[in-house]
Amino acid sequence: MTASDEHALTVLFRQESGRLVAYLARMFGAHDLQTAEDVVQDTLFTALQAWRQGLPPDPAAWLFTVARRRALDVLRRRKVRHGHGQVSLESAELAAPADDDPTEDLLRMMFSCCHPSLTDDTQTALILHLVCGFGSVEVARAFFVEPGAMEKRLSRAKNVLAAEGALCEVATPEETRKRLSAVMQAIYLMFDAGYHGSLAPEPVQLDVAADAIRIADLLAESRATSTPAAHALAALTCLHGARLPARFARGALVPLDEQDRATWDPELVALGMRHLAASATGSDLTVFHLEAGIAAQHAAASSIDTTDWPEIVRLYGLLYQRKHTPVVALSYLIARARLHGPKQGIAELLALEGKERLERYPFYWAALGDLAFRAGDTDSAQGWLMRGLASARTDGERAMFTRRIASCRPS
Amino acid sequence: MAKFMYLFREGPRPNLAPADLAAHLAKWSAWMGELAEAGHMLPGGEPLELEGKTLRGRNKIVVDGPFAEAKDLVTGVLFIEASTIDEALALARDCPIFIYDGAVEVRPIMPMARPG
Repeated sequence: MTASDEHALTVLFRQESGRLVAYLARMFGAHDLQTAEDVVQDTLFTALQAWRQGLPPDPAAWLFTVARRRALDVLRRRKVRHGHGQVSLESAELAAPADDDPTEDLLRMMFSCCHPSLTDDTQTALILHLVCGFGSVEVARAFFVEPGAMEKRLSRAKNVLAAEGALCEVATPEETRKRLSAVMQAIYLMFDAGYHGSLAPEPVQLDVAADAIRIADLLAESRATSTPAAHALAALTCLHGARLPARFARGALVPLDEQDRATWDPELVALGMRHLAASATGSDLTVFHLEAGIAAQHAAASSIDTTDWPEIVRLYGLLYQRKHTPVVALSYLIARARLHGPKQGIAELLALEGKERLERYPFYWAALGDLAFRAGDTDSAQGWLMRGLASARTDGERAMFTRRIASCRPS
Repeated sequence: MAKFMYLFREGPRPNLAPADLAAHLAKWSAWMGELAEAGHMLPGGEPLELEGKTLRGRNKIVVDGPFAEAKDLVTGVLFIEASTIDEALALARDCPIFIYDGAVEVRPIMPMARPG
C-alpha cells in the first residue's frame, strides 16, 4: 500500500463514516446520535479486522452493509428488551430507511448541526466531526485548540442536538430558510480552516478544504437549498480551492506571485466559474458573491501583471463595506498597492485602523516585508519578515518566512 | 520447511479515527507483503466473521458465539512456511496486531506423512 493508497483509504473511511452517521441518525434519531456513532465505530473496528488480509472489492458498500446490519441488531435487541417479545426480521427491516439519497442525509445532518443555540465555530466543528468524519483531535487541530477542550465542546453540542429530539428536515422550506445562512457560514469557516490549515505539516487539512468544496457544491445543487448565495459560496470555495495545490510546496507556503499557475486545478476553476454564473441572479449581492468575484479575477489571470487589479480593488472596497474586519482591510490595501505602488502601500498598511489586532497575524508582516522588498528597501523588509517569523503559527508559515528573509540578504 | 498457522487474537477495542484505521491497514499490508516477498506465505488465510454458532457435546446443543465483545477472539488465520517454530515466531514479531495489544498464536501444522 503506497502513501497515496493510504491517504485515499483515510478519505474513504472519513467520508463513509460521515455518510453512515447521517444515515443511521435517521434510524436512531437526533436524541440518540451516540448510538449511531457507536455503530459506526463498531463498523470501522470490524473493517480493521476484516480488511487486514486485503480490501473488499467495494469498500463503501461493504461498510454500509455491515453498519446497517449492526444497527438493525441494536434495534432488535432493544425491542426484545422492552418486552415486545419476538420481533420478526421484517418489522425491524421497516425501521431501516432506504439508502435512496445519501446527499439528503448529509444535508439533513448539516442543517441539524447548525442549531441556532450553537456558536458559528461550534457548528463548524460539529460538521467536521459528524458529517466529514474527522476525529476530535483533527478538529481541534483545525481550530488551533487543545483536543480535550474540543472533545468537551463537541459533546456539549451533541447534547444540544439531542435535546431537540428530531433532525432538521431540509425538505421543510421554513426551517431550511432559517438555517441556510448558518449552514453557509459553517461551510465558509470550514473551508477557511482547511485553506489556512494547509500550512500545517499534516496534509489532513487539505481534506477539510476539499470537503467544504464538496458540501458547498451539494448545497448549491440541491433543490431545497439552492440560492444565488449558495452558488456564490460554491464558486468561491472552488476558485480558491483550485489554487490550493500550488499554495503549499516543499513544506513551505507559496505566496500568490510565486505560485506556478500551471498547477491550478482547471476542473475546479471551471466548476467555480459555472457556480459564479449561476449566482448572478436575484438582487442580493452577498459577501460570498464579492469574494467569489475576487477569486475569479485571480483564476482568470495568467500572471500577477495581467491581473485586473482595478476590478479587484473595487470588489475589495465593496467587501470591506459589508465585512469590516482587519483581515479584509489588509487584503484591500495589498490590492491597492498593486495599483499605487509599494511605497504608498507601506504607508497605508502602517496607518491601518485596527492594526494592533493584525500585528499578531503573520500575513500582515508578510505583506509589509513584500512591499518593502519590492520598493528596494531590503533592511525594512528583513525586519518586518522577522516579526512575521515570530508570529508564524505553523511550520509551513515559518518555512515561508525563513526563505523570504534569506532572499533579502545580498548574495 | 514446516507449515504453521497464525491465529490472530484481538486485544481490547481501541477508539479509532479514520486516519488511524487507514494507517493500521497500511502496516498490515506492509507486513504481509514482506512475508509474501520472502516466500513464507501459503494460500488459504482468511479473516473470520465475528459472529458464529457452536455445536457442542453429545446432545449437539447449539450456542451463539463467539461474541464480538470478547477479548482474545480469533478474527483471522494465516498459513505460513518456516524452517522452525522460532523462525515462525520471529516472523510474527512485526505483526501490527500488537499495536492494539492483540496476540498471534503460532501453531505448527502436524505433518501427517511423518508424524513429529
